Amino acid sequence: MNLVEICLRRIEALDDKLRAWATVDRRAALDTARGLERELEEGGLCSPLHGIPVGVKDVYYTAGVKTSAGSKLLEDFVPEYSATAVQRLESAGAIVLGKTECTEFAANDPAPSRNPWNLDHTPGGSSSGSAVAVAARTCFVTLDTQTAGDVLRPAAYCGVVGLKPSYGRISRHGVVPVAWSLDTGGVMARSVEDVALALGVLAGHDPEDQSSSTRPVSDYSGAVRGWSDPPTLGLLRRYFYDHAGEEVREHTDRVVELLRSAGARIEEVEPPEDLGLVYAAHRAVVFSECAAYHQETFRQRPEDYGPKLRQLIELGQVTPAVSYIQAQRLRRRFGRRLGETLRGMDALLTPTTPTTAPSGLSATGDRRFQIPWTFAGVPAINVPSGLDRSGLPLGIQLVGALFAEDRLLATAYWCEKALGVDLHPPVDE
Amino acid sequence: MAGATKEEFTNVLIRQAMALFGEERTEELRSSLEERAEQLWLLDQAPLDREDEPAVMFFP
Repeated sequence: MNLVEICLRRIEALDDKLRAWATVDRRAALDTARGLERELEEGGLCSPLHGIPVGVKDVYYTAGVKTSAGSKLLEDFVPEYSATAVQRLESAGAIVLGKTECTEFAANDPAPSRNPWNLDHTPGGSSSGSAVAVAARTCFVTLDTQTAGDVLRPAAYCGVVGLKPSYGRISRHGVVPVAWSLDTGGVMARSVEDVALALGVLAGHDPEDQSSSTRPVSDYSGAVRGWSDPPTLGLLRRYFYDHAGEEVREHTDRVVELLRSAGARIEEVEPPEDLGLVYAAHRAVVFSECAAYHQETFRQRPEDYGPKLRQLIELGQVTPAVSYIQAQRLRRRFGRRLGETLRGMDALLTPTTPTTAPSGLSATGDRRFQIPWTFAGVPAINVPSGLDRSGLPLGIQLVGALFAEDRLLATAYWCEKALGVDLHPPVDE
Repeated sequence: MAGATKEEFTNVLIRQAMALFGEERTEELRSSLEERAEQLWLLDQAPLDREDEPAVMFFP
């Protein structure tokens, strides 16, 4: 009860300036909290997220609660059922405080959210409100999606942990899509342990979602707690250092030295594919699938689309079918080669973003460092690693093998402890 | 469009855009269409093997 009240008070105090929340269901959250408290008093079972306040990105259906996906087209849409992932959170005792802001249809037209480290900078996107909500301590965990860099980039810009697991690990049933073959459920929290706990609840097969994997779910929290050996990491400089700013390159080098001095074995590796080509292929897939999903509505109400999404759909409409198929062929090859690169390693390491959060609120930053992993369907996580000279968060990205979330989370936990970084944005000043 | 040049990709996209969105909108989109054409050309150059099948959309 106390946790929910604290979070609701913080939302009330901060959200006029941060704009992280699209909808807050205060009454429902307090009612649920009272019910869960009674359960505890009566000696009921304590579920993994019992009483933990969470936020849900506004692309997930929530029964009886508006789900607008940042779009005028869905401004009055109230689903009759909740997405499977939301149901899983609630069954595990989580208390949904409300819906977090996202870019329009989780594409490129920005959300109103602002970066808690500097209100004039973007929080990233598309899971903009979630990253802000977690960073500003208005909830503990958020449920998100990634199609390009939609979890890891905002997590890095706002200084929180963000995980995109393997494609198919979290159900997409009841989620407004961007591109079906890429959309992946994800989570943000303030620590790797919290992310592991949430994934343990969310992961698992869902017969309602054809893309949902039937592979068994590991004990992610146990994997994190049980790990003690320093990891073996592959440092990817090529492509990432070509596109990163000087401060990010220097910072990543310092992080690598720090992790080495703590015992990690780190060797430089080469990308298994031309990542510029991978980027081009990813764009062909996103543009085509997004155009297909919006085809009918776009024909009827083009004026209700924001300028960036409108352009994305139009570019998708003119993308040749052969290019789409070639992109999917390249995707499979990249995934196979990436698996070979990762053999014998716990994770690959790169900076999460080329720079810290850019100034301005008209765009959500550069997604090219996160795209390869979403395209390959492998898990990736942002671990906050410090602040730049202007006081904005920096992060490292760790990339694991397909469905090896347990190993990736354990590696991320080890790195988190070795780095010892705990970031608090200056929102209460 | 195997073996097409960047310019040929650009022309195809522009012709498609003209047919779908009209001349005025195509002009507004011109630089984005050129950028897309360059990416599609790059993709067309990818040395894929005959055995490389498309990624399946969904896991069984």
